[in-house]
Amino acid sequence: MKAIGLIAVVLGSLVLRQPLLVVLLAVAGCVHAFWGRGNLEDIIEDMWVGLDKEVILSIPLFILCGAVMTRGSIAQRLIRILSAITKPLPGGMAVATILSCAVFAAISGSSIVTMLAIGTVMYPAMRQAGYDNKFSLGAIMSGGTLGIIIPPSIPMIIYGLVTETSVTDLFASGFGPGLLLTFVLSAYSIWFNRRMPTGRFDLGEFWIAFKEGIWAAMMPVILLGGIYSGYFTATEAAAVALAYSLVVEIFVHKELQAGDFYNVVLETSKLGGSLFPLIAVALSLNIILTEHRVPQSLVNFMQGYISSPLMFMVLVNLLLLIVGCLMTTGEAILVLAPLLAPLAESYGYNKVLFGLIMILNLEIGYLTPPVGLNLIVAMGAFKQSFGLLCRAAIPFIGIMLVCLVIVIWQPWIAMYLVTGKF
Amino acid sequence: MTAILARILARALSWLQHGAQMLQPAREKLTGTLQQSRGWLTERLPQRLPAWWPGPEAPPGVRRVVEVWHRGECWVAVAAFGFIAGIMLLDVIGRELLGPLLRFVGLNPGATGIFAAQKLSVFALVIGSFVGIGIATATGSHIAPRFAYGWVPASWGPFMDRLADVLTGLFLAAVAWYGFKFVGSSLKTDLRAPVLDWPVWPIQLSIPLGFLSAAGRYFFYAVWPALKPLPPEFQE
Repeated sequence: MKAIGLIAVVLGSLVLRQPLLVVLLAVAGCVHAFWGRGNLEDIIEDMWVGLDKEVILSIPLFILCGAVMTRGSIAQRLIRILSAITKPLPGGMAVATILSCAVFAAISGSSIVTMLAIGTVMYPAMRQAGYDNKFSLGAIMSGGTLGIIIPPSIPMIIYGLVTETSVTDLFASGFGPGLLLTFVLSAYSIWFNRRMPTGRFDLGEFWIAFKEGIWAAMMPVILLGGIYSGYFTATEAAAVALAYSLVVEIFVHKELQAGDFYNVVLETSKLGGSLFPLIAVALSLNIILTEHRVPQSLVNFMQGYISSPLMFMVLVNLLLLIVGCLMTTGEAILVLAPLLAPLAESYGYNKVLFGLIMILNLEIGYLTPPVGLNLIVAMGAFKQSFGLLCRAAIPFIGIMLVCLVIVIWQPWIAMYLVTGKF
Repeated sequence: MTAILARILARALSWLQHGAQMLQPAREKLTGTLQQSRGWLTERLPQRLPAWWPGPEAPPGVRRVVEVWHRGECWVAVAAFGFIAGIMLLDVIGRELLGPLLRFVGLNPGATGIFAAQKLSVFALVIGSFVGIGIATATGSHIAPRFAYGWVPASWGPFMDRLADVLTGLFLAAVAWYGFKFVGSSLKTDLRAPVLDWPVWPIQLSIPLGFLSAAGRYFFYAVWPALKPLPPEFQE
């Protein structure tokens, strides 16, 4: 009866157009009132305790870093280097788009920031060079999703927070699947544009692009090198990335004025204001669920019905693909990760691997209607119809699904950098 | 095999058809009752809003109050997030660059990071985050699952929006109340931050104040919907 009441509260608050913050607070309140001691102050206390974690500091720093780079010219300089390298390939500009997204993803932790930073430069360039409209849009939208797979990744930090998983391990696990996706998307770009004319590699052009973009190109090297060598924690890496991007944009590229910093920080505050209270409530909910052994009960219940780990993985993937169509990545991780991660562990899946699989699924959700965020943002940024964008994304969704299956089938692709084993 | 599957499918379809036929009278009855109730309500509810009811446009004074309120919150948030960026940068530079450099030239600088930098940053994050609830409300940036918006008739939209704002405001005001109770108990027990040994209640106060600020805004939106910002094109 209490469970039905809880479902009614959730459905009622959704129909009554409540923000996710209120929905989660209502759920936390119900859990405390129905199953706990009914002391609602505990929710606030748990929120306070939940935010008191060092790794959470990396989120505002990476958001700030993304905002600085979006205002500056790091993306354009990276694109110039990669375009010069990929010129001799058929569909070289498309490959440059995917590679630029991958390199930019290694600095930014967001899918939308990556798509906009690269797409606003590459979409007009690809159209002018005669690339197919649908293909160009699909390549840019799917390339943008690499932002949350290739570390650093904000969804990975959120997953790490709510499931108490090492963020450094999660970052390490994203590298292999990110490379796989980059390779497969680039290969598809070459195959699709195999009849496009190719250019000759121009050493002079490459040298100029390299000289102008060396500072931008060094950024992922410093960031990823620091994280993987164990020299930086995720938070330190975020601080270094921010310092580096500020120094480069203000003093080297001279693209950022001191006055712009207010707007950059304000943008971060807006995002933070919607995200951090949500994280705090989700962490508070997580504490009460764990106290009442809800994940363990769910594990026992599920194991009564599903004994095969493979069947579990198939069902979870289907669930996450559907959820990805309906919810944004942050929402889905905050709501589902604390429940699904212990379940996955009970079926023998590593929590790091499961987090990566979850994010790979939700990454596809960026391209699926009705809540595919890259589709929605691309609609405004590239002035295209929603239907056309959905059709443009279809082949790329297929490719990403194949990569997801490959990672599940061969988990070492994700886990090699974590465990050091094949 | 195919024949068996086809037969199962046909049987399932016939069951579904039969079920739908059985439910048809109940559906008709329910639709009739709903229409009757709607008619009954329409007859009894006033057809025009009373003269004292405020229009959607807010008076200029109210608009100014909301703008100043927003600007104040923005400055607090910018200070908090700017502080996090600054102190974390200085801490990392001190530990990873300055310290090794001084040690390399033969000096013994001791600890070169900033004392309790992470604790201070977490405090700034708490202040920035909860001030941010108001900012996110003022800029329409709160994440709201929209898939259930279509579960009520579209014509109810404006009414539902106002009702939603009242309910959100009431709910957040209640959360603020519990927040104040929590801060009160911290104050009473003289709870102090580890490492810094500062009383934590002034920092904790940002939690109920943030919720209260957001609740106030939702009440304003319920009264003057024109004040409400349009939701952004995307929310992440």
